[in-house]
Amino acid sequence: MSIVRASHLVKTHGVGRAARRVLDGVDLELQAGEVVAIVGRSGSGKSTLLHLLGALDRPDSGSIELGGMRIDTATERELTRVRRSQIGFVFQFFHLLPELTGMENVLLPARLGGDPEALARGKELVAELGLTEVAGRLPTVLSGGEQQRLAVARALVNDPVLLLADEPTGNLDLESGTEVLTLLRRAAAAGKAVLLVTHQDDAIEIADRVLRLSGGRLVE
Amino acid sequence: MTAALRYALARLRVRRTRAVLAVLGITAAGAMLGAAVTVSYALGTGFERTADRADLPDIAATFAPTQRADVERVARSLPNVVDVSFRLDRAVIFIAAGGKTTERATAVGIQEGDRRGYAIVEGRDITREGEAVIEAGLARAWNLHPGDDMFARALNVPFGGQRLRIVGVAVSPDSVAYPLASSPIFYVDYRDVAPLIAAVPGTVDTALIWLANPDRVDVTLSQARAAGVGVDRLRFGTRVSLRLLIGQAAGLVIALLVAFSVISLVVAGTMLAAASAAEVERRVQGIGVMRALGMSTGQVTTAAAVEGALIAAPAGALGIALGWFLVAGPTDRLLASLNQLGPGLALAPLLIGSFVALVVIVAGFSALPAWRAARRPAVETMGGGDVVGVARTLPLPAGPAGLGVRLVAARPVRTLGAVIVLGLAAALILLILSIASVLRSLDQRPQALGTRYQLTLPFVAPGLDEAARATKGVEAAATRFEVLAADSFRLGEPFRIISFAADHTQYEDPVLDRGRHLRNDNEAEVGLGLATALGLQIGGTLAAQLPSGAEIRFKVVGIVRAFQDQGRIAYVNPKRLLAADPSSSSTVAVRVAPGSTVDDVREALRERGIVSLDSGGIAGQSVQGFAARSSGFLDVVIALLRSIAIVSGAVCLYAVAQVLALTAHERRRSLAVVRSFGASRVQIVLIFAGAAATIGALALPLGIVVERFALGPMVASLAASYISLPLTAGPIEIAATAASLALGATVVALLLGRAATSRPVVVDLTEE
Repeated sequence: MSIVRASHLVKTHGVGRAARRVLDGVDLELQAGEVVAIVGRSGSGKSTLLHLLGALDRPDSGSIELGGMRIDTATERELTRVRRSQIGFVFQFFHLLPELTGMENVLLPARLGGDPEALARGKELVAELGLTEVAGRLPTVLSGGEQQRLAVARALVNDPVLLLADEPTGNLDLESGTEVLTLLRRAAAAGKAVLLVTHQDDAIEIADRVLRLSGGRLVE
Repeated sequence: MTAALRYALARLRVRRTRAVLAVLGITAAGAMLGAAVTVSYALGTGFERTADRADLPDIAATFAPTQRADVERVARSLPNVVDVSFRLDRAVIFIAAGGKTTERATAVGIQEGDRRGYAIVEGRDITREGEAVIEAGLARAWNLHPGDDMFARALNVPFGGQRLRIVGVAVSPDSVAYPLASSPIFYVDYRDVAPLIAAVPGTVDTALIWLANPDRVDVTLSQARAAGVGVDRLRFGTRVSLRLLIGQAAGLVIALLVAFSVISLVVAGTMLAAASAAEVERRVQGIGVMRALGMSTGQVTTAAAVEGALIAAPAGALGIALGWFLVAGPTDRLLASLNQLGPGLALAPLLIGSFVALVVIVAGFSALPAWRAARRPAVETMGGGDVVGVARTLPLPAGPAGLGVRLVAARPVRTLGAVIVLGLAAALILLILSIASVLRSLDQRPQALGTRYQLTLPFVAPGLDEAARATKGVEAAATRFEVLAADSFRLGEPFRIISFAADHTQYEDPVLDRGRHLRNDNEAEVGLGLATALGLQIGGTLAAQLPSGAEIRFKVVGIVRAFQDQGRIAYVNPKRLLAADPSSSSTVAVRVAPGSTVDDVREALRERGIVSLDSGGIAGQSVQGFAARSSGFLDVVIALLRSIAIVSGAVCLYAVAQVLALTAHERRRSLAVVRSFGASRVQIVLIFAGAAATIGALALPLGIVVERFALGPMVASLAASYISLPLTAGPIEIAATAASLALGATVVALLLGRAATSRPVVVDLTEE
C-alpha cells in the first residue's frame, strides 16, 4: 500500500544570486512496511526532502500525498494534524527537550493529541526498549544511545504511518546505532513506511531500497 | 574607530532582536524616570516657583478699612521692611463675563506704583481705570481672554456697577484657583474698586509686606503686632502660612505623588541595572572568545559599556520624553488648579540630567559583568558558555503549560530577575491603586481622618446643640470651637486650636502617637505636624497667641496623628479658650446613631429648620468642599495617577515580554521540535502562557509583600508623617493588579505564540 507519493518536487534555497535549487523534480513513492534509505553528498538536499515529506516545509512546486491527502496544499492547521497523527520524526541530535524526563519526552506527542491510547502505547514502548529504568531521568544524564532510543519511542508514540529519520545513527557509537536501526526495522515490520537519510553503511544495509540524491534528483 | 566600538556596533547589528528588546525596556524605564522627575519637580517646587515669579510678599496683613497713610506710616517704620503695598479687597461681588455669572467674586483694588504680588501669564497688567486682570482659574473656567469685557457690581450696593475691559490674566499662589476656590479673584485699579463697593476714599484693608531678611519674619511679626495696636481686626499671614494653607488643599496629594515618584526613580534605576547586567551575562561565552583572541579586559569592558550606551542613548531619550509627555498635561492641570505655574524650561536640565544618569547606569551595569567575566580565565569563560539551561526534574504536568513552566524554571537567575522587576512594577501599581483608594476615602469618608461625626451645623444659635440632640437619629451633638492661633515664640508658625464642649475623642479621634488624651483645662493634645514644627514634647508648653491678642499656655500631654492642617492643630478644653477669645468660631458636630442614615438625620434636622452640612473629607476640610468636588480636582489627580500606572503597566508588560521573547529565541529549536510532533498554535501559546503564569504567580506575591511592608509605609511616611495613611492594597486592588498581569501575560503569550508559529517549522529546526 502506498503511504507517500511525491511528484516533481522542486525546492530552492536562498534568493537572487545565492539561490540554489536543491531539489529539481524529485519523484518518490513509499510503501507500507518498506525501509528506504536516501544517500547523497552533504548539501545534496536529503534533509530538505525529509522536511518536505514530513510536512515541516512546503515545496516550490510538485505535489506530496500522504495517506491519500495532498499535504503540499494543506493549511497549517491541517499540517499540524498530519504531523501529530501520521508522521514520526527521529533527528540526528535527538532533540529531546532537556526540561522533560525521558518518559515525558516520549509522551509529549501523545499529550499534544490528548490520546489516552497513545499514552499507554508510549509507556509500553519505553518498557519494550528496556528504558524503564532511565526514563525518569533528564536527557542530560543519559547516553546518546539511550536518548536516541527514547527519540524513536517518541516518534512512534502516536502510531504514525510514516517514520522519518534524519541521520539517526550519525551521532552514536556502533552498538547504539545498531540498536536504533533494529528499532526502525521493527517499525517497518509493523507496517510503517520508514525513510531514513544517512551516510552510514550499516544504516544502508537495513534498507529495502537505497536512493541517491544527486543534482536535485533521486536515482536508484 | 576603536576595536571596542566596532565590536559593539557589530553586536548591535547582528543581535537586532535583543537590541530591540533592550530598547523597549530602556524606553519603559526611561518613561518611568521621566514621569517621576516631572511629577516630583513640578509639584514639589510649584508653590515656591510661583511665589517667586509672582513676587509674593513675606507678610500679608489684613485689617478693617483704614486710611492708607495711617497704616503705611506704621508699616514703613518697622525694621526689616523693604517695601509695602496696599490693597482694598472685597468679596461677594457679582460679575458677568462670557455669558457666565457669579455672585461670589472677590475684587482686589491695587494702586499705581505698588508691587502686585501676582504674575501676569497672559496679556498685560493694569495701567488705567476701567481695566481688569483676572485670575487664571477664572479665565480657564469661563474661557476669558484679554480684550473681553466683564461687568462687576457689589451685591450690597443696589445701583451702578462697572464695565471693565480684561487686559491680562494672572496667577498668585496665595489661594487655590477658581473653581476649586469658590470665589474668583479679579484685580482692578483702586479708583475702580472704591466706588464699586462704596468704600471711603483713601481706605485700604490689606498690606503686603516684603522683608529684607525673610528668615526674621517672626521678629517682624512680633513688632508689627505691637505697632499695630489700635488697628482694628488686624490679622497676619505669612508666606509660610500661605504655603501651609495651600497645603491643606493639595499638600497630601502632592506629597503622595512626589513620594511615589521618588520610589519610582529607585525602581527604574534598579530595573535598568538588572536588565543591563542580565543582557551582558547572557553572552559571557562570547566574552571568553574575545579574550582568547587577544582583547584586553579594558577593551571588553569598554565594548560592553559602549554597547549599553549606544542602546541607552536613543531609547532613554525617547522614554524620558514619553514619560514627560504622559504626565506633563495632568501635572500642569493639577498645578493650575492650585494657582501654580508649571516648571516650563526649568525642567529641562533635570530631564537632561536624568538622561545622562540613565545612560551611565546602563553603560555601568553593562560594563560590570563584562569586566568580571573578562577577568576570569578565557577558557573558563568560554566553557561557562552561553545560555545553557539548568533543567531539573520537577513534579509538574508535562503538557504544554507545564513545559512552559519548565522552560522558565531552567533559567532560574533570569526568571528571578524578571520576577523582581515584575514584582516591583506590580508593587507600584498596587501602590497607585492604594493611593487612589485613600484619596477617595479621605475625600468621601470623614471617618477615615479620625472624624467621628457625620454632620456639621454651621449656623450656631443658643440651644442648637440641644435641639440637635433631640432630633431623631442623632446619637450625640456638641459645639465645636475653632480658632487660628500662632505660636507665641515663633509667630510664623500658625496652627489651629480645636475644642469641643464634650470629650473631643467622641467627635475627633486621630490616632494617639504618644502620651495620653487631655484631662483638664490646662492640658493640650497637639498634632504631630505641630509638635514637629515647634519641637514640642510631652510635658512641654504650647504657648498660643490668639487673634484677640491674648496668650494662653497649655501643657502638652499627648501627640496625635491628625490629618487636618497637616497636623498643625491642638485639642484643648473650651473653658480657657473661650475666656481668652470669645469670638472663636463655632459649629455643632452631629453624630448619627447606629441604624440611622446621614440622609435621614439631615432630613429630620431640616424639618426642625436646622441646616446641616457633611462634615467632609479631604476636600471638605481643606478647600470649599462642594467646589473641590465639583471642580474635578481629584479627577485631575487620578488622571495623573493613571498616567503613571500606564507607565508602570508598560514596564510590567516589558518585563514579561523580554523574558519570554528571549526564551522563545533561545529555545526556538525545542519549540520547533514540539511543533514537528504536531503541536498546534494554541498549544505553543499555552507553553508561553505557562511560562508567563509562572513569572506572574511569583511576582504578584512579591509585589504584595513589597507594597505592604516597604513601599506603602515608605510613601505614607514620606508623604505625611503627621498621620497614619493606610496605604496597603486591599483585595480589590490586588484583584485588579492580578487581572492586569494576567491580561498582559495573555497578550504577550498570544503574540509570542503567533510569532513562533508564523515561520515554517523547518526554519527553526535547522537553524544553527
